Amino acid sequence: MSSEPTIQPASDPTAPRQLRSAWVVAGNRTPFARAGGPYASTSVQEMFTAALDGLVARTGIAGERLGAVAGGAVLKQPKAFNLVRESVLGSALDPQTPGIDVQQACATGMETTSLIANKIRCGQIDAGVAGGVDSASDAPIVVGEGLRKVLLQLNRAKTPKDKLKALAKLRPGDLAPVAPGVAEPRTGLSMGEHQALTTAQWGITRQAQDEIAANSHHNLAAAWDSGFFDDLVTPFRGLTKDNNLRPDTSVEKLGGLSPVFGKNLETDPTMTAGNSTPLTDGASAILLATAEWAEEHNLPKLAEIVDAETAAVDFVDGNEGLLMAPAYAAPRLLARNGLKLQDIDLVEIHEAFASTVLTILAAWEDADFCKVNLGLDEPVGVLDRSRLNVRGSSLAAGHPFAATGTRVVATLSKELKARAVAENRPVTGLISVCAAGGQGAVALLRAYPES
Amino acid sequence: MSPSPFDLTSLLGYAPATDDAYLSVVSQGPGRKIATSLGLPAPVALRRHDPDTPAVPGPVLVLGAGSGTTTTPGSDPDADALAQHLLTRGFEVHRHGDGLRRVGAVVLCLTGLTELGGLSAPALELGGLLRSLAPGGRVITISRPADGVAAGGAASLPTAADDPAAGTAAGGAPFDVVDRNAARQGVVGFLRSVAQEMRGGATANGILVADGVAATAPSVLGGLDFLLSGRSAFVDGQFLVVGSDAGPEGLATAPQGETPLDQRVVVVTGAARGIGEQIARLLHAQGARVVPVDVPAAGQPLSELANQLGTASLPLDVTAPDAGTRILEHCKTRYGRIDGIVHNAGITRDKMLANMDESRFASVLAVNTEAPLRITRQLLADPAADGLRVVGLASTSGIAGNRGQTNYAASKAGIVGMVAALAPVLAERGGTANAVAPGFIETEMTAKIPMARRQVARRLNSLQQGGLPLDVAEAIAFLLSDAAAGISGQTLRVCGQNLVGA
Amino acid sequence: MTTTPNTPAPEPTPGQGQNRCAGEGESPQRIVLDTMPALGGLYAKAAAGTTARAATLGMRRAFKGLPLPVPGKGARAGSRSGRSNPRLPDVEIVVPAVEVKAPEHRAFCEVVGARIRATSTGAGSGTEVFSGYLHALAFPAAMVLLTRKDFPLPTVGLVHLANAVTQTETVLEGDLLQVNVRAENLRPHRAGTAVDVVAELRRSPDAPPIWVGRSVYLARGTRIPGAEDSRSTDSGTTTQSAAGDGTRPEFVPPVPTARWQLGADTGRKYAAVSGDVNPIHLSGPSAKALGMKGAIAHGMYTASRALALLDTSAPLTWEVEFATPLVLPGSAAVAVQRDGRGENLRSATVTVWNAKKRKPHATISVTR
Repeated sequence: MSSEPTIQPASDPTAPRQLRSAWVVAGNRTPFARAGGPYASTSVQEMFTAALDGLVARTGIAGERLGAVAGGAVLKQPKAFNLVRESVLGSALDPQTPGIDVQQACATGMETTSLIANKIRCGQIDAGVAGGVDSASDAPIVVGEGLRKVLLQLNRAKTPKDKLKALAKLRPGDLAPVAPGVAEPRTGLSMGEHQALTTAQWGITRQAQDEIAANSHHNLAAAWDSGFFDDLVTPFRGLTKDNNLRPDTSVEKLGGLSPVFGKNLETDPTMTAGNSTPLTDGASAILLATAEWAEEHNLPKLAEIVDAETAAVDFVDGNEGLLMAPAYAAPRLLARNGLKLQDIDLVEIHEAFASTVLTILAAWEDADFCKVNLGLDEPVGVLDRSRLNVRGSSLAAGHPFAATGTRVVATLSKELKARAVAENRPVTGLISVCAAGGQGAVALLRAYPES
Repeated sequence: MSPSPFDLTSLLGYAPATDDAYLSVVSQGPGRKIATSLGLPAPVALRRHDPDTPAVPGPVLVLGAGSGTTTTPGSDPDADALAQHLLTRGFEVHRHGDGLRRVGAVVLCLTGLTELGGLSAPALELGGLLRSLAPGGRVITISRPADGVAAGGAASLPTAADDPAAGTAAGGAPFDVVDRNAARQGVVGFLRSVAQEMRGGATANGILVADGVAATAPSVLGGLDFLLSGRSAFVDGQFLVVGSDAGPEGLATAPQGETPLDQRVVVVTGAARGIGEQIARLLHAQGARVVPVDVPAAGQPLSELANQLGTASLPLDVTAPDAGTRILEHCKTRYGRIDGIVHNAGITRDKMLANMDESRFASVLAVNTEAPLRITRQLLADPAADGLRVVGLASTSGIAGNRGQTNYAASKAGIVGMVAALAPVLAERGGTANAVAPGFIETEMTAKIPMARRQVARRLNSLQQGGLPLDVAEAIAFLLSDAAAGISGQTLRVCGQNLVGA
Repeated sequence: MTTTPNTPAPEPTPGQGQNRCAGEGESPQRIVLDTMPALGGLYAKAAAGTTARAATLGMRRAFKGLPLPVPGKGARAGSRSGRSNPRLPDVEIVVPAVEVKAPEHRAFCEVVGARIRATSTGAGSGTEVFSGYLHALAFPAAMVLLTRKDFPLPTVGLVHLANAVTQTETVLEGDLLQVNVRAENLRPHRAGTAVDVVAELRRSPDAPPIWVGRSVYLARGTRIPGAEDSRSTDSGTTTQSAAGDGTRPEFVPPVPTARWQLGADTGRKYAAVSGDVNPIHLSGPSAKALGMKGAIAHGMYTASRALALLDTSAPLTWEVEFATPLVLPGSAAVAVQRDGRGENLRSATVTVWNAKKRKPHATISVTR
């Protein structure tokens, strides 16, 4: 039931083109698994293919040719250079569906969402998939520089003698594999160490961080128990549920963990394995489409991708926290859309660390920060915590870097739609995802009560 | 055989060969000789539906019992009419067995039987023909149901019992009704015994046509088509009960073809694997728009199935309080309606009753019976479910009982009761409710039975082998089709005439 | 002017320049080398010039921070010449035309993380040479001086205390530069004896220097009885805490902005691109043979890497003070404080320290 590729001229090619709305119509992901667990022997391509297949099955679009599938992975083997296209070829989609590899660290899923939404808005495509995948278990292991040089020379060597000569240069130490760096290239500090600096700078307490973590687990557990994820997650490799989830955790239990980041700072360390995300494997994808496409396929219009914004901060010399870019991006996005933070019904702030959420919120409440750094006369203000991460977030679900963005988009879209229908009014949501390199992506979604 | 563009086997995605090594050894060649000489069970590969081979492996012989003269055309109008319909379908139809060296099927029309003695002549005539019956051949009786025979009987038609014509027929000569009733039930015993004497993968089944329903009613003809064909391969010693004239006129001239379920929106629960998967694949092959449902935990195989069928999956726990509502919502959103549901999802939690705990007992009832009840109730609350065709999955365990399966048997018998009571409810809205009771079916689940027990269990039926998930699916597809529109409230066993609970 | 023949490790002409005072207004003896010597030979020579025991002792003391109460017998200053009033040799090592070769420069930049910067200035357009590399360029000439028999301090035990560079012009790859190196300012230090080695780079013999580097070395535990106390005042390149005799203030770690992970091969990598093959940097065993706990990072590796972090260009002045050695393999906390980037940078400080022990390794400050 592959839909024939058709070329239809616009009714009036000379007429000025109107931007169309891009809608989230469905989402799907694998359960997220702690690295080294059930997906340890799985490649990112297999995982992303599984996420695509689940999405296709959920929506019944097997054999359809979509305008594009955009995805990506932060940790990617060199052989996976065409990861997304290869995944499409292995999926139930029409093999004539193009694939685009995108990488913006932890914001990859946000950027693929924005990319596909914009293609739809501009009239280039009618429907497409955005997603992301990561596997800390399938991370590329690189040979050391010494071995690499010897191997390259060996490759160029023509005579056995030359080959021997090349091999003779090999030293035992050259054989040690080089694990992928988890540190920021420009600072050598891990993300946790960076966040520890920001945490200390804003004076975020251990208690506040553990509360965020406990809420995340409790909200996610409640969502699972209520069947919320029945149509958002497809089991994979025998795993049916996010295995980082600890429904019975509490602030007290979390309080017993030892700090892991910021131990050499002048302030008391507050960041633990409990209020930081673990290395995680998983994939996620969402289906975006025009209203017409959704209607033709009898799919619901869950939420509209209204707008998106990406900011980046100068973190290298400590002028700003590595993960603070969303604090800049969101106010710009809100202002452009004539909104205030208090107008937003549901807010999703990706919990890279509990303190990431808290430092962003603290910055928005801080008049000086808002004036000096954001150029605002009034602070962004206080966020009603009951609107924050209502279905749990990365501390509980885990954080397969590139997959987090579309996990959040799918979760929020479904929740927004449910509330819009229940309250019979448009409901607006804001997503914030921080990323390596001092980047931060935010997006505005809106659901309507009408189907 | 010419190559067919329609490769049923690959479309259905099942391997017809089972892991029944014994069957593959003894079904042909020297192995068969050894087995027969030793008096061992000698099962043969069953004749299953293939669009490229004739529906019947030889001429169809129609015998009547009308006025006691089985061989006189014109003396039995029902037999004449059936013969005419079969002729119209393109079969080679005979009214005499004389000179026939090979017979594909014998249709024994016994609708006019008024006393049991009338059975002798046609029975013996059939007996004389059995040696000419082709492998995979069929014996089908067409008769009227006896009144008031409940448990262990072939049919229990609630409407038939209330039929005033039945009780007061021939007014003033009430004992004629008794004679007739004995004759009618006699056919049941006769047919079931014939079935046990069949060889070479041939089967014997009957169609019971309720009083007041024409012997050529659409579902009689549709039922004949089903029983004659390879689609009924593992149905043996059973009766289809046609309770109404409902059904398409077109069946008078031709069978339904390969896609009787064209565009029907049919939900299959427990579709991710096993029998449910086979049901979904067959319904899809027959043209249905299948909505495969399974628990979210089975999402991966469910997705694979949905993608292969080009349909949308619905991950859902059938025991969820709003499962029916969500199924309805999904079907309405995607297709605007729902035409049928197969309550296939089921679990076993076997334990001897003395060792049974509450969770084992309750969970089996919750999944196997309470969920179908709740879901059906929720579906029927919406006008979109008008004309709904319901098929439940019962089990021979539910009919005959099974050691260690008190919970399961209760749940499956519950399905038998459910469809019986649903039938009149659905009849008002143009729908039907039936159940299929599988016997020993070669599935992942039965593959886990220890080898020796499995070999014994397989042979404990007239066909001396396990059935395939496809056989169950074929029966379900038939019951969902228009051909079975006149069949409701019934439980059809797909068990190869399992000796248990016969 | 005396010219020595072109040799890889030239020995100063005997009898010349020895025991000569660098008197006021008097020109030092110039020893002109046609090419830069290789450092391996110079180290071999330095090692041969002293006993292993003395070196071991000297090195160990050097980093234990335990000044000897009296000059040991193995200390070279007294025993070598037997003089009671040693002087610096009044010589200047000159290499007239040293080419800044692109491959060597780039290899150096790769190791210290310096950006390869294309530039177009009054000096022409091309690839700007990293200021830290120019120190490495001049260093062999300094070693020629330090390993002279008449140099009063033991080469192998020398501790690099500080370095100050003033660069007034951009240097491009392919430029030819004259290298002049001299030693001056021999002076007592609370932990021994300090000396400045001054290297100058100029575009032609008559031109003013465009790059001047002053390295302060300490011969720990070596006492020079008659050293010129009067000249041990602030040299302009050393500060009180490192080279002076004031007590060291307690180190308060700044907020880190980076961390360096230094592999065991850090010393070997830097040695390969700088030519500084001092065994204390190369491997654990070779360093232990010289009395160290393990291999330590080159001071100028630390300085160049810190300078590279700031990613700025000439003209500039940069100074580095070394405190405790950075043992390899290891990690160091780093803090960058700056007032701008690139052309807008006016002043900046990079602090490198041991986060666990709260001890500083080096502090680099840059002004432009």
